[in-house]
Amino acid sequence: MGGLRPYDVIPASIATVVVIVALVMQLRRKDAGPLAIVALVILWIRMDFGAHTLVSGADYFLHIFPPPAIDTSPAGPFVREMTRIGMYDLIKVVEVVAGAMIVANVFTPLALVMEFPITVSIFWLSVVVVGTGRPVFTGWRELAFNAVLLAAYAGYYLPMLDLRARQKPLWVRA
Amino acid sequence: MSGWGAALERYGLLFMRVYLGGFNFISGLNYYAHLTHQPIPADAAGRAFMESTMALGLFQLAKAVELTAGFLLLTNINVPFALVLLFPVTTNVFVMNVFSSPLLHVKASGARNFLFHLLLIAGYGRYYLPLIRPFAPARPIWRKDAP
Repeated sequence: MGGLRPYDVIPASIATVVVIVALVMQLRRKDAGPLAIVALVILWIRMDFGAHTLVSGADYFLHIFPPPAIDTSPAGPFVREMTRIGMYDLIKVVEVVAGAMIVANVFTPLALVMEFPITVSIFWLSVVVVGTGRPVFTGWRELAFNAVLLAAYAGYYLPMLDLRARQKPLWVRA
Repeated sequence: MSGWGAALERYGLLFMRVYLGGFNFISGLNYYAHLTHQPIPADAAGRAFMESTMALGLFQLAKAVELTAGFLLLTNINVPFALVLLFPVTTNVFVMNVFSSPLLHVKASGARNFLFHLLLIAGYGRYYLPLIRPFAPARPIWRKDAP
């Protein structure tokens, strides 16, 4: 899978610190019930996924870390053409915004939906197109984390899945 | 809202739903059923982008999304979900058509579909309100109190 990269280490470190703090706070509460392991796992995944998305998007504009070797990848021409028409810039803006929202837990259900098309593209390029080595791990992790988080916030999506939805305009009071 | 206003809202949204649904359904169907020739961007950058997506299978995936979401919009099944499903494709087409194509009618087509899509999202906006809750706690699908 190759060596560890900043894109992986920084988000995982942030997620681990946040979970440790949450765990300590949970244990120090006098009325603490049974340990909410699942909630801590979801918190770790949310922080790791959000921070990874934020770092990936921000690095595109700030050039902090060495860029991934995209030219030698089979996905290289696609990324190049996307950049040429301005689509890649838009995707990176979405990553920054969605990543920040997920980390700060502001409108998380919306941010997970915003990020999902990018996740599917990353999965497709990494697993289906490249299909070997480290990208396979990255692609599966991206899809698994986004899917787990969508399931963890599924309660917010249920109204949207109404099979026979009627018009409910924003400008009309419920 | 007055009678005319309510009728305009209702039938305006109906028109946009059927138009956007029909447009995408035909566009998706055409790719697989070869009803007519596949439109190719007039500009070099758009053409190169389309070719790169075809080489990777992403174009085919987008056409499957157009077909599915278009059908859902046309048949009024799960419209709020269909609008979310189709939004990345509409955005992509909007960017390509409006900022890349030299042809005015192509620019207008991309802008019109994007506008219709935004208006439809607003027209079904109350289904999306739960998504914009700040500091939302998790509501897992596996917990009985999720809704």
